[in-house]
Amino acid sequence: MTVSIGNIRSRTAFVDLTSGSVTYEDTSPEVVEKFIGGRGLNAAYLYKLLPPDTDPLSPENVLIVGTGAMSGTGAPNSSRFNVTALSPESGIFGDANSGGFFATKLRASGIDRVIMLGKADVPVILKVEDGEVTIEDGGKYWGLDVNETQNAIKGDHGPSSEAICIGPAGEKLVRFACVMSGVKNAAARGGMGAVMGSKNVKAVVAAGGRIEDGLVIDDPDGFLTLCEELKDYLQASLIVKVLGHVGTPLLYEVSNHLGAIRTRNSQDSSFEDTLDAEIIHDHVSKMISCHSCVVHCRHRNIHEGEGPEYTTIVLLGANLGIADTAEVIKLNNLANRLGLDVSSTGGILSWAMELYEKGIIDDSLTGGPVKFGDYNLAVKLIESVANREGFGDILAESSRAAEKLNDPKRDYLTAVKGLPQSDPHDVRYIKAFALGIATASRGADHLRSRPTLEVFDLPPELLRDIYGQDVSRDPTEYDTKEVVVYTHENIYSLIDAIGICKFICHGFNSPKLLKHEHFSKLLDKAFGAKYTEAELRDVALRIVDLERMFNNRQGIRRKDDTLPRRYFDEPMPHGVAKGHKIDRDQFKGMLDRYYKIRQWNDDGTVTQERIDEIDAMVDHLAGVRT
Amino acid sequence: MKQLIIKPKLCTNCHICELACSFKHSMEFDLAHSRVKTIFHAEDDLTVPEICLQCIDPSCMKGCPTGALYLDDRINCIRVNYDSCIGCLSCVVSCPFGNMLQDRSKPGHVYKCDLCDGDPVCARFCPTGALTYVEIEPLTGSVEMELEKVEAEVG
Repeated sequence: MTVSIGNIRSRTAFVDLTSGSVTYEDTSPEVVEKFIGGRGLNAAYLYKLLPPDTDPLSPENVLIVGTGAMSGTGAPNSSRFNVTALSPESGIFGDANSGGFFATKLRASGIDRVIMLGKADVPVILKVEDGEVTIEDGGKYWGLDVNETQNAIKGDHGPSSEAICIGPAGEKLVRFACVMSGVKNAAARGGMGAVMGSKNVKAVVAAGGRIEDGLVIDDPDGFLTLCEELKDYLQASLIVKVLGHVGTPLLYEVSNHLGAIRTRNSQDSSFEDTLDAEIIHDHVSKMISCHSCVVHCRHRNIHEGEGPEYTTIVLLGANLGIADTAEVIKLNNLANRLGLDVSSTGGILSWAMELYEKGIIDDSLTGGPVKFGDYNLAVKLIESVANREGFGDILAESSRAAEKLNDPKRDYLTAVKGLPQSDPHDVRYIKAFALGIATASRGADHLRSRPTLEVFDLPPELLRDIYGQDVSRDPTEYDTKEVVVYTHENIYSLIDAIGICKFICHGFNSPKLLKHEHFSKLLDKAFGAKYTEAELRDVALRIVDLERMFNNRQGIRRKDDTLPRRYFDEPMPHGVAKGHKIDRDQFKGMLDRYYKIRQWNDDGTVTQERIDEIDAMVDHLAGVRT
Repeated sequence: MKQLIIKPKLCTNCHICELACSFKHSMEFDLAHSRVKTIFHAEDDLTVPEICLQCIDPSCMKGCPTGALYLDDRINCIRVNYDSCIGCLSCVVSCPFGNMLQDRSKPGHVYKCDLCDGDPVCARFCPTGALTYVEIEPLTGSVEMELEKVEAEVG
């Protein structure tokens, strides 16, 4: 080993749901060194454990719930964990990150990662307590929605227990069902809730641990002092203050002004101001936070739920043509209760609406009109998706419904690699953003890179500092945008492995938040791990390459790193972005250059030399099967 | 003299005070070992950080049969003398606020907020000002007037 990892703990429980046996291992230090934790170690385990040709909803799929190295330590915003499996929605790498209070409690209960294998005969819950996982009857919770499940679990396992669970959508194997932490935090993307449902697991409850189950901190005084310094540093940041004031909806006005709000399935690109942050805020009773958070960007709304995020108000608002503020927030609450990914829900519904309005599908398939701008219809559709009833049963298949919806080439679906796009931003204007959703390892998703700093018109020297070279300051320019995407993808893979929220990550909304030097210090003071900044950058590259290797194995090649047809063919209709679209040749050039700096082959595969190198690292995992 | 000030309206329920407290006192990141507990009251949409108020007329002290609780007047803090404590838990049942706690892994072992000996870590970590440790001015007006001042401050 070249890096001393100190006390970084990766206590992993393998739960074989078929046989009912539970085994434990401390992840081999050689592998922890290379991937640190969270998303990184989850990817390593999935790559190692998933058998070839697995059906994502079969017992052979492997569902991994893993915390980051710093999760639950009191480091700023260290509430994150990842849920990882082969995605039933996209058929490729499925990985979703969430906050809330679960990760902290899981680690305090003495376990850092739970790997679910096989399938239980009957509905069960997993209970983690005092360093052990037990499989308990979950029949009484089956059929309950997310809020009811969380309340019932608190009642049964104590108010200080924390749980992740699925709602009715996960039970019914809706391919975009999510895993919920609390009532609003979602490990949303890629249908991880359907995988959990396919294993008959309703919830994982962290109930607490003994003193000896806690994490061992290398330099307690130094660590506390560092955390306090970082808290003060972050709270001085303007973006942290603004996010804490109104949350992510603040981005709505910016994108809307730009003319880049996905509206009515991206047929349009600007919408009503009824979804502006200030107006949303009239429906908010309080801003609340995840564990150890210095930002507090989550809303508690006055319609009996939490949220909404920027993503939700657009995907279930503008994108469905629904402008009424209260109605949009109620749709958010409904999707959360049912355990649905709001991004895919909005993307799939709007797809069907456009197809219906264009006459590509009709009442014989839908059973009645499916039109934009109808709140009651949206409620009915969302419920029918979660329960897999009627037309909802077809929509529950997500992008796989293409044949049945008479749009076999998905010409009208805003998705990449079978995953509907999450970010409300129409990416035809910001070219780096377009490349980012095309290369993201889980499909069309903004939280793998979200390269938007360039719209702030930052000074060149600051850009040089962030990207390591000169990059174009013009968002509509294609040149050098591969460097922008590459840089963001790298740091986000690292922060997901460390278990800290992207909202305080360098590059997410500001160039001044936490970066490698801070991560290096945190890992040192907490665990005595000695990573240099360069070594942390290597970890990031490794995680991105490993996820690509997984996807290559699932058949992903250059042809899949592309964009929805509309982004190439139709110019944007409004605002500053009017007239912009993605040029196919320029996009190809950008992708060529991206592969080059990633050192991947021209066909989008990882080189054999790199595969051999990473295979050798992952081989150190003991694992329970190969 | 400094005093721990609680402003529930500013609390966002992030639990960092509990985590920091637990770590500072038991080297463990578990809310179950914290001297401060954030309690969410759904009906009022309010999260209250509950922590020893260092009462002027402390019920816990009155309930103690051995005099094991004493006032540390350097920092105005009620503390436990473990040499005298017999583990009868009278103080736990005496405190009307539930701020005297017992260790579930060590029967009869009670603990409470010790103000971190004059530098409470909960206040240092609180990101919103819901918990602060500050010099306080003596009350000048009526209780109602003082409350109005606080209301005006936290909204």
